[in-house]
Amino acid sequence: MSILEVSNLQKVYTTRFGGNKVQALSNVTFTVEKGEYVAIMGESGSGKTTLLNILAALDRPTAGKVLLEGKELSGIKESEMATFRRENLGFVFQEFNLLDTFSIKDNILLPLVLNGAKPSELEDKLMPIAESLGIKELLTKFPYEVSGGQKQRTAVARALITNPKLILADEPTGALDSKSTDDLLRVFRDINGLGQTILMVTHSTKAASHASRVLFIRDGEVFHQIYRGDSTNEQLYQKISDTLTLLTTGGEKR
Amino acid sequence: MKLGLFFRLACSNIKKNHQLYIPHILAGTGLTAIFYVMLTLANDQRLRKIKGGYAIPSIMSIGIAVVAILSVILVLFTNSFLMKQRTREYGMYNVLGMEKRHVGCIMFFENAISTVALLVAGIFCGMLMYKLCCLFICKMLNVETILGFYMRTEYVLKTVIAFAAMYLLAFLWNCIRLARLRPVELLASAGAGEKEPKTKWIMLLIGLGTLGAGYFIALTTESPLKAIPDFFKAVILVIIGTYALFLAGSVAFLKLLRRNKGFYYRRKNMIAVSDLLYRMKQNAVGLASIAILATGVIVMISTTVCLYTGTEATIKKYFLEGEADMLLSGRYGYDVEVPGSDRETERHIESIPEEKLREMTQQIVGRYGAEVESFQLVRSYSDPICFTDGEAEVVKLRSTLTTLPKGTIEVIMLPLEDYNRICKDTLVLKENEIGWVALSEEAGDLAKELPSEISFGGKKYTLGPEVKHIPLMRSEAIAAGYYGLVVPAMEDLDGIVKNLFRKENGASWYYYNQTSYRYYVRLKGVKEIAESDAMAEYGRRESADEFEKLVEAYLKELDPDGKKGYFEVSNWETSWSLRDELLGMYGSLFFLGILLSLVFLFATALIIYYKQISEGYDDRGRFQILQKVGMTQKETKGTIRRQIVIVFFLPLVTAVIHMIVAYPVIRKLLLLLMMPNDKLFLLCTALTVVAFALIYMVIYRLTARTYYRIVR
Repeated sequence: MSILEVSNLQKVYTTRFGGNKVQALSNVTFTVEKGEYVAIMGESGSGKTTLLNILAALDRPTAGKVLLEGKELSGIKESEMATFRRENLGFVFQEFNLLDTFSIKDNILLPLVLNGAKPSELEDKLMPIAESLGIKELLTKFPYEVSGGQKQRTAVARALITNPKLILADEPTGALDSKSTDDLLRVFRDINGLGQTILMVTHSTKAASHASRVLFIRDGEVFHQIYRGDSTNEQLYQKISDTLTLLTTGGEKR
Repeated sequence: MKLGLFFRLACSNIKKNHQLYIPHILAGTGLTAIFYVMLTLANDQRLRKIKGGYAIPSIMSIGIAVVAILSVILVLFTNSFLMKQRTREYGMYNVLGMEKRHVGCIMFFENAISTVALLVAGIFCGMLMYKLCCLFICKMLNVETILGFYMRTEYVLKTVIAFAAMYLLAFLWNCIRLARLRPVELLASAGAGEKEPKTKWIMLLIGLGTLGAGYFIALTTESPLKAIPDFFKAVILVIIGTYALFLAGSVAFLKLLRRNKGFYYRRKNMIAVSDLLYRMKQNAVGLASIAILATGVIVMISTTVCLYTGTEATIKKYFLEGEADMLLSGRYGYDVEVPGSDRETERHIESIPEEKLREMTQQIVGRYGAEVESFQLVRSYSDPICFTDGEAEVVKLRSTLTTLPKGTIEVIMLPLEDYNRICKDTLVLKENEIGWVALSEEAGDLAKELPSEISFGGKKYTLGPEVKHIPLMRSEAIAAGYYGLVVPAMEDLDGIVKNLFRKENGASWYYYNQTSYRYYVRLKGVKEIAESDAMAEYGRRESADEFEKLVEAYLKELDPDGKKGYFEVSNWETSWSLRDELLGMYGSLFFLGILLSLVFLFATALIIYYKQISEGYDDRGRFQILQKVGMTQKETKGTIRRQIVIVFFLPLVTAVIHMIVAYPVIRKLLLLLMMPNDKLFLLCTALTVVAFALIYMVIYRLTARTYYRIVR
C-alpha cells in the first residue's frame, strides 16, 4: 500500500512584480510505499527543496497532487494545516532546528505538548525513544552543551515522538562529521527496520546508499531511480556514483 | 584620499543602520535640548524679575545635575548597544583587510557625524523649546508673557562642550573595545547558544530583604517629620530591591513554574516560560530601569501637579478658610539673657496694642487703595506633646532625625473665647475642662487614647466634649496625630504654657515655644492692593517692608534703648504674596517635574526600543523553528505577543505597586509642603498613572512595529 502518492507535480515561482517565471518543478510523479526508505538526490537548484516543502505542506504546488494515505494535501484548510503536519509528519533538518531555550527533553516533547498531550503521558512516550536513540543521559542538558550528532539524534527523537506516518529529512547529515553521520544513518536504518517510512533529501551519496530506493531529480523532473534490490550498501553506493557522474556529464534521460 | 573614503563609508554605514542610529540621534537631540533649556532657565535674568519667578533658577539648578547624570548613563547605554550590534560589521572590515586604526577611523567619522547632527539639532530644538518654556512658565505663573528671543553663546557653548565630551568618552571606550577584540571573535556568530540563567539565591534574598525593608519603612512612617529621611532611605532600598528582584526573582519564579510539570507541559505555557527565562536574563536590568524611571515619573508629576493645582486651596486654608486676606502674627518676647540662669523672667513688658496695630495696617493698606474691614485675634499655643499617664510633656526636637516618643501628638491649644469667635460656635466649658477635636486624618479618638484626667505640669484638667473643626493650619507637621484643644480661658492657656516649661530648668527653647498671637485681617479692595503692591524680592511684597519699618519705628519710640522685651508682630503675610510665592515655588517644581519626566521618558523609550530590536533578531530564528516544528503562524504570533505583553507590563505594574506603597509617605511629605487635601493628591496620582500608562503604550506600539518588521 502506498503511503505517499505524488502525481504530475508542478511548481512555478513568479517574481513579485509579475514577469519572470521560474519553473522549479515541471513534472514530478512517484509513490512511496509504507515502510520504505527513500532518498531523493539532485544538485543544487534541481528542485529538491521545493519538492520537500510541498510534501511538508509548507508550500502549495502550482499543479498536480500530493496524497498522504489517500488524503489530498491541497484539500486541507490552512487553519488545520499545522495540526495535520504535526500529527502526520515528522521533520529532521540539516541545521537541527532545536530551540536553545529548551532542554533536550523539552525539545523532544515539544510536538506532543503542542498536540495537547497530557503531562502525565509525556514521560512514558519519551523514555523508550530516548533510550533507543542513546540520548537518555542527555535529557537534562541543553542544545549548546551537546555535540552535533547528539543534536541530530534529538531532532530525530522529536520527529518520532508523535508516531508520524512519514518522516521527512532534509539533508540530515549535512552538518555532521563522518562518525556522527554513520551513527545517524544507523539510527535511520533501525527505525526504518521497525516499519517507519522515511523520505530523505540529500546530497550525500553515502547517506543515499543506506536507502531502499534512490530518486534522482534534475531540472524539476524525476530523472532516474535506483532500487536497492539485493545490493549491499557498497554496491548501491557505486550505482549512485555512476548515476551522478552521468547526471553531471549531461547524459540523456533513459 | 583615504580619509574621504572612510568618511563616505561612515556616511553609508549610518544610512544602512538607520534603525539603530535614528533613535540614538533622537535621544541625543532630546537630552541636549533639555540640558540647554535648563541651563538657560537657571541663568535667565528676566525670569528672576517676574512675579513668582524667584524660585526658577535654584530649582532648575537641581534639575541640571539630575539631567547631567542621566545623560551620561544614557549616552553610554546607547553607545554600548550600538557597538554590540555593529561588532560583526567592524570585524568584517578587519577581515577584509583594513587595519584596526582604519576601522577606528571609520568609527570616529560615524561618531563625529552623529554627534554633530544631534548637537546641532539639539541646540536648535533647545532654542525653540526655550521660547515655548518661557510662554508656558508665564502662563503658569499668571504673568504677562516675556517677549523676545533670549540666547547666550555661553550656554550654547557649555551645552555643546558637555555633550561633545560625553560622546568623546563613549568613542574612546569603543576604541578600547575594538583594540581588545580579535577578528575571529568579531566575526563569531551570536548564535553560539546562550547558557541557561542560573538562579542567584543570594541576590534573590538581598532583593526580597531590601524591597521588604523599603516597603516597611514607607508603610510605617508615622510622623511627617520623619518622612523626609525615611522617604530617601526607602527609595534607595526599593531601587536596590527592584534591580535584584528583576535579576534574580524573575528567574527563580520562572524556574519554579518550569518545575511544575502539570503547568509547564501545556501548549500555552511551555514556550512562554522557557523563552521568558532567557528574555529575563538579557533584559532584567533594562526592565528594572524602566520600572524605576516609571515610578520616578509618576511620583514627580503627581506630587508637583497636586501642589500646583492645590495652590488656591492652600491659600484658602492658610487664611481662616478664606475668611481673611492678611495675617499678622507674632509672639511675646521674654527678656532672657542667659538661658538657664535665674535671671529668666517673665517681663513681657509693653505690647503693641491692637488698636495701634490696626491703625498701622490701615495706614499701609490705605496707600494701596484698600481698607481694613475686620481685625480678629486668635491666640494659640502649638507643640508636639507626649502624655505619660495623663501627664503632658513637650517633645523637644533637636534635629529632623529625632525619633518621637511613642504616642506623641501635635496639639494646637486656644482659649474658648477665641475658639467660639473663629468657629462661630457657642460652646461652654466647665472649669478645668478641655474640649478637643481631631484635625488630621491619622488623629483618632482622643478620649480613647488619653485618660479622662490629664495634667499639665501639675494642673489637672478633664477631657471634655468633642468640638467643631478648628480652621487653623498647622505651621509645621511633626507628628501624625494633630489635635485641637480648647481651654476655658486665656488664663488657663497661659498657665498651661508656663507649667509645661517650668519643668524645664531654664531651657533656652522657650522663647520660640510660646503662645502665638495672630491677627486675621479682612480687607476691602483686595484686588486693588494685590495689583499695586509690587514685588520686593523672593515673593515678598513692598507692603511687608513698609509694615516692618512702621513696627520698628513704634518700638524705638516705646523702648529707645532696646532693653525691654516687647511684643513683636512683624510677620506680615498676605494672600496675594503667598499666592505669588506658592505659584512660583510649585510652578517651578511642576515645570521641573515635566522636564525631568521628559528625560525619563526618553530613557524609557530608548530602553524599550533597543530591547525590541535585540529581541527581534533573537526571536526571528525561534519563530521560524517553531513554525517548522508544526506551530501555526497564528499560534506562534500569539505566544510571542503574550511574552511581549508580559515583559511590557511588568515594569508598569511594578511602578504602580511602588507608587501605591509610597503613597502614604509621600502624602506626609506633602503635609510638610502645606499640601491642602488628600483627595486632590489621590486624584492627581490616579490621573498621572493613567496618563503615564497611555504614553507608555504609545511608546510600546511604536517600537513594537519595528519588532514585528524584524521578526516577519
